[in-house]
Amino acid sequence: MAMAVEQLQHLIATDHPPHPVVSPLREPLILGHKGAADVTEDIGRLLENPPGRGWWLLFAGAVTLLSAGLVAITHTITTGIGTWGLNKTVGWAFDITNFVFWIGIGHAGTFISAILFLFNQRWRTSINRSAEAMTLIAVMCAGLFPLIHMGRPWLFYWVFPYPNTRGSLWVNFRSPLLWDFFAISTYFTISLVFWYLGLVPDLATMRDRVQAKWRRTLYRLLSLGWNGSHRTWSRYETVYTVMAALATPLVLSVHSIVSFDFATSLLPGWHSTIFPPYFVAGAIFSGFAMVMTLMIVVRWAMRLESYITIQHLDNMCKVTLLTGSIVGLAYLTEWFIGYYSSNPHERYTIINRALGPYAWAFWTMVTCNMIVPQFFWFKRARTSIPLIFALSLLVNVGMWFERFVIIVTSLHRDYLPSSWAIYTPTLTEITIQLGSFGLFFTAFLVFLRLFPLISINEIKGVLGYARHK
Amino acid sequence: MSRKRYWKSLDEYRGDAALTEQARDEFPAPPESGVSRRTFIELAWLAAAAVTLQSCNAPEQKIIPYAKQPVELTPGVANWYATTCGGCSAACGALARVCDGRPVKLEGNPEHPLSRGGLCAAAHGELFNLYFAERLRQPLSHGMAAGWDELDVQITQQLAALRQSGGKVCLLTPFIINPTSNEVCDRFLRQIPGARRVVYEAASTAAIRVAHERTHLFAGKPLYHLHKAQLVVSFAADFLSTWGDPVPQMRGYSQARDLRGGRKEMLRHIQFESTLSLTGSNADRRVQIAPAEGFDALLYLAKLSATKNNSASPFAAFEPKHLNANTRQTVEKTAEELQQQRGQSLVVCGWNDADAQAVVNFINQTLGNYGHTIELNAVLANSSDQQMTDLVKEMNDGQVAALLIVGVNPVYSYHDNEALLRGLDKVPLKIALNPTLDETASLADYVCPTPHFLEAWGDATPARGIYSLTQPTIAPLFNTRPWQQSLLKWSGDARDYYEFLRAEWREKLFPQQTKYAKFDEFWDRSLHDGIFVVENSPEPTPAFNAAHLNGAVERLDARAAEAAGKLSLALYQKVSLRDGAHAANPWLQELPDPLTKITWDNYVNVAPKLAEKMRLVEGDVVRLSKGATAIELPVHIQPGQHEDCVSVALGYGRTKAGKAGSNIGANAYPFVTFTNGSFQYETSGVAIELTGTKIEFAKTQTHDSLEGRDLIKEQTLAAYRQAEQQEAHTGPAQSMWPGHEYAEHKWGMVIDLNACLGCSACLLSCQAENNVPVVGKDDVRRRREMHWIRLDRYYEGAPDDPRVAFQLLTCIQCDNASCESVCPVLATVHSGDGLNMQVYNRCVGTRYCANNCALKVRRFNWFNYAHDDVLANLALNPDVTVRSRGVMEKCSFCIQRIEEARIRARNENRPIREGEIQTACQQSCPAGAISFGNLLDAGSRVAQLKRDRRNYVILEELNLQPALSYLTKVRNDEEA
Repeated sequence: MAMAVEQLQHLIATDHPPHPVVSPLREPLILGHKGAADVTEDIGRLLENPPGRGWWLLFAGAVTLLSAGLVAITHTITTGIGTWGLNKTVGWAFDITNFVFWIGIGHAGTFISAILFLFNQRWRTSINRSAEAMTLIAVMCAGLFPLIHMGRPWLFYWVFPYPNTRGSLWVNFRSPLLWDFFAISTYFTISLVFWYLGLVPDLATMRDRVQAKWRRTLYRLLSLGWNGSHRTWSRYETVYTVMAALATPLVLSVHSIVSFDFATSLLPGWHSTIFPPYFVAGAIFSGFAMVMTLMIVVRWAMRLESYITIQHLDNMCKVTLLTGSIVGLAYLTEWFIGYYSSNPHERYTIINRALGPYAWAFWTMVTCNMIVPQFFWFKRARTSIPLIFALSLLVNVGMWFERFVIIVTSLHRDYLPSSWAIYTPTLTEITIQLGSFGLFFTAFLVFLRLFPLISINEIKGVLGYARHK
Repeated sequence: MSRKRYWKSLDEYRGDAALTEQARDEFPAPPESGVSRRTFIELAWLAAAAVTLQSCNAPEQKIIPYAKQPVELTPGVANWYATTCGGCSAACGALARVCDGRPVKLEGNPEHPLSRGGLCAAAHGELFNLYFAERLRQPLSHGMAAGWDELDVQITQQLAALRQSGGKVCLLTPFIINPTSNEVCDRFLRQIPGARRVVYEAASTAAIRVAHERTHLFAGKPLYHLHKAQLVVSFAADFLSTWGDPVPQMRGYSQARDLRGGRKEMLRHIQFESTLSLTGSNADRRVQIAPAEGFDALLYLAKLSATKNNSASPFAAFEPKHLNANTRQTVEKTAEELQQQRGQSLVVCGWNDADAQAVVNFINQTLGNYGHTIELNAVLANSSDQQMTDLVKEMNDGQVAALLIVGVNPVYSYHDNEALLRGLDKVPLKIALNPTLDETASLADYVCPTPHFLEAWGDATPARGIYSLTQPTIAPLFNTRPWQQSLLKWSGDARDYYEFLRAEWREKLFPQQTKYAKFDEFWDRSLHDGIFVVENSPEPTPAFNAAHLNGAVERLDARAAEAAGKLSLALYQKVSLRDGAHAANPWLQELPDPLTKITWDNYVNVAPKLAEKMRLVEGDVVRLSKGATAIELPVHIQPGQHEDCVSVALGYGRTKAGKAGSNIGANAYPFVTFTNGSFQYETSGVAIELTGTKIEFAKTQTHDSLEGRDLIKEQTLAAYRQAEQQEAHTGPAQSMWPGHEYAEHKWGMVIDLNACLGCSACLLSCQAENNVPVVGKDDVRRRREMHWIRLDRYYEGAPDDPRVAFQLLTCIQCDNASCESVCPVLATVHSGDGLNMQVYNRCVGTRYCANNCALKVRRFNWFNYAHDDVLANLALNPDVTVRSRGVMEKCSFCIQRIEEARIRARNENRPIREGEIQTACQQSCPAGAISFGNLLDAGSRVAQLKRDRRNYVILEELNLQPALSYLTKVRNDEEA
């Protein structure tokens, strides 16, 4: 690594794209014979030019959704959870479905930046920055739901174990909701620090480039006096590796703990030991699908085809295929155990999912999560951008329905048939869900305008000339 | 150790005395210079702040103690007063719990010899009626507010004029069993020549009295001793829900079926009916008959009974033509069974037809049941439905000069509404004595508001020798006056009704006892107990007079022929609204019907087969018509209904029943016919047709099948007798956790499924006790009812003729509670005496506990439920928190009662006594199905029942270790 850095420094000084020395058998990660200056220019320019009409249109749409969501949230908080479609039997539905969905989306970023970093998957460099930003935003969207789903959200801080004057009354360490609080806040903190750490050299680059005064001030403040010295680089890379190592277990822990919300309960359809690995795989599955959806739009809209190449998409498709197949296997296992346990309640839950009133949701889930990713066995599917885009969208739909099916179909018909009920969402709930997408896209669009969406410093390490070892 | 002296500065080292002194003083005094600038500003600000803060204080409120403490009143401590329920004519004994001067709960009076502590749902609803905002608040004269004096002058003048002119005065009253009220009526009528009294019952059972007058020359209603019976055969009599005096009947019935304590005998119950009634659903053998079969089955049973007892009868020549082979065989078998239980059987019949009732009397007479299971001992004036129809006729003929209407609402409930309205138009003077401005009172010239029974004096005699007192528990909330007092006043007696009542008791009842020498002592005792029982020797049953049966066979046979092959309509009453008098009560409107689980509506019950034939689905609005009479109602597909019969509940479709009760459902009274001298609630030849619209019912349970799950255990009596010990269920439960430790108390409950009859009184009792809100029709539709208790009803077998099972369910207070482990903020925790406590003010409303509850007994406050009616808020129990929105709630085993008993016991330095704590549901259960107590006390009833071999827990495989368990239901039939 140090050698690469030295070479990099040299190349920056000479600013000459040398002849590629990479074997022609290995496809380059970045196309178009880019040199280091080209990279800085290509990515820096995106921030310096004023946003185009497309960006404004998307931003307006996202802000509209966000505003509608805020109105719906205000309505919920001022009137009561009764504005939702929940009832005495189904106590969670859209709220927790959206929570788990967004937490799942938030898995890809850290997986890409930490685990793929440790495994030395250099293709990650084109996508890790946006994926991490997506993670942070998705976790924020996720965090919204446990907050507003409370009957008395103004007392949300009672869930935190803070010192108080109530004597022995504290929080319940047996409750998975409390574990969620720890898991998610830890994950968010580490992801934020990790993302910011990776940004520092790029912020310094931008500090040195931009003309607009407010941007210069912003980047100066945020780049923490980065000077690009060897010592700085050396320490930076050590810290980055350590952070990656720290973040890795969190990728696995967060969704395992989220799955405990269900796995440690006694409801048939929730009470299942397979949930932690199944949820983690599902989260990475959905996270990668979301990264693909976003990256396809971004590379097209921002003309970044030479940075986010078809090969990147191909690789992501492969991860999607793997995790999707794990999810599919988990479904099969769940159904088999449901049958094999001979537990009438378990059996009924499985049958009810497939044939009951929410069968349409179940079969949407099966189609999108078990069948759709199987297309990625084919190279042609992995390299067709419209197809990848469509399939990745379907995977996201499927993963949303997976959470809906788990939560609603387990609750609506549990042990005592007398309490069985049907849940139908209200406009308020649907608007809040759309609002969470509004928040997600608003924040992502702001990110695109504020920070280099591709890691300039890391890309330079994988340019053609730098790839030989 | 040597003490070293350290020095801090050279000055100190040198020993400068002043400096040394200063150095020792940590906080040296400031140089003296008077008030400094800083101090001045500080003080100025302090003064400004002090002046400003003064205005920030909350307005001063004073807690004013009683200047003169009323006797027996301690703020926060409830007083109990014995009284008599005025909800219907059964007059059950009640106890009113009065907190800080306002009644907040009605409970059954265990001293009452008939109701024995039971109360029905409608009785619990009476508490709401007391604080009903739409009660009349002052007298009305021609629609304008008036004073009592003014009213009295005008009415007295008009009555005096009538006395002179000889105009006919009629007093229209409900069926009253209050001796003093009847005396008041008599006195009033005596002083106006030609005046007469007409008794009107909307849902009439007058035919029973008419028939007994014919067959036994006895004027009054019979008293049924179900607890003495071994076999009861009922022909469509809903005697466990609304027919007769339901509470005493339920008491007797469940007593005769009680297997607790090792009994091996129980009452057998056979029910013949076309519609599925609550009573039929509890029967050991329910025989579904076509409407046309009904009279034939009854007549055939009479014939068989006569033959078996070799008694001469007019039925000898009778041959059932409309019975199908199955029913015929069942009737024969029933006759055989009845014969074996001579003298300890009972036949009852729900048809309000004097001929049919006379046949029933014949059967009971033949079987020797009079004097054993039936007693003719009520002392009551006779009345018949004929009186009312005659009155309407007279009114139309312009013969009635004045009509005084006391507490009945014929404008709503009289079948020939048009004739009645025409007739009322022709009555020059109409006086209504009523608590509300209902359909009838709003047509009256003068309206005299009457108080609620909790505000008034009164008495009742439900059976000969049993007298109960009604006493006021609160000063009248409005400018009301008991109707008895109005009548007294208008008959020239200036006495208060209270004085009159005392005088009557002094004159008539005081001499009948010897225990008390002074009347005041006797009165105080009777008032304290709420009941006075005269020790009487039973009177012999009057002789049976069979002559009146002549012609009955022919008439009944003709009616059966008329019904054959046609679609019949049966009108019935629900446990909630009864005949419609309770329609204004939202508690009762929201009480789910025990069978259909529908709230806030009435509907046409249609058999599954008929629905299939006519392509009806649940909620289809149909037009139900007979001739010119037609109503539109949604369809409910009711398993167990005979396909030749549809049924509709009475009591709905009120137009002046306040905010909650008006315009809900449709009025079915126009279908009542006046046949054979009685109001009849079955009519044939109705038609139904689809209207094309559809509604969604507000149901609290939408899935009717148990799905083969082993939640309700049931066995036959034979199997129960054989089984030596409790079945092992799923083996001993394994747990890695040692469990809770309880020091002194571990509260537990046992519900006997064999006793629970599904009357739903407990739901209302709980609602009143625990301040459970009403959520309204829309939110029930969204499955958000708040009742802490629910009555699960399941059907089993073919939909055409299913078995019905009820399961009363509330929080089962698990030891291994799934709710407790998941709450992030410890808002639901386990108490040291075994309760799952819900801490309302700690709850943040994640609903995780409700999701993780296997029984779904937790209720969430989706909104802030209405508590803005200041008057209705007076009904709130001050011992129970009113929950705000966003908070979870559930059954607490009436923790406020447990705490009350605990405090009382502690003050008296003694342990809590067995039976001292009764939960609200348990206390007034008419069937005594619920037992509650300390499980750690091996001798307590509940601990004994836990050892009963019928004891089982629900969802045992989950190892919840609940404190609530069930006793298996036992059917006294060959097949289970």
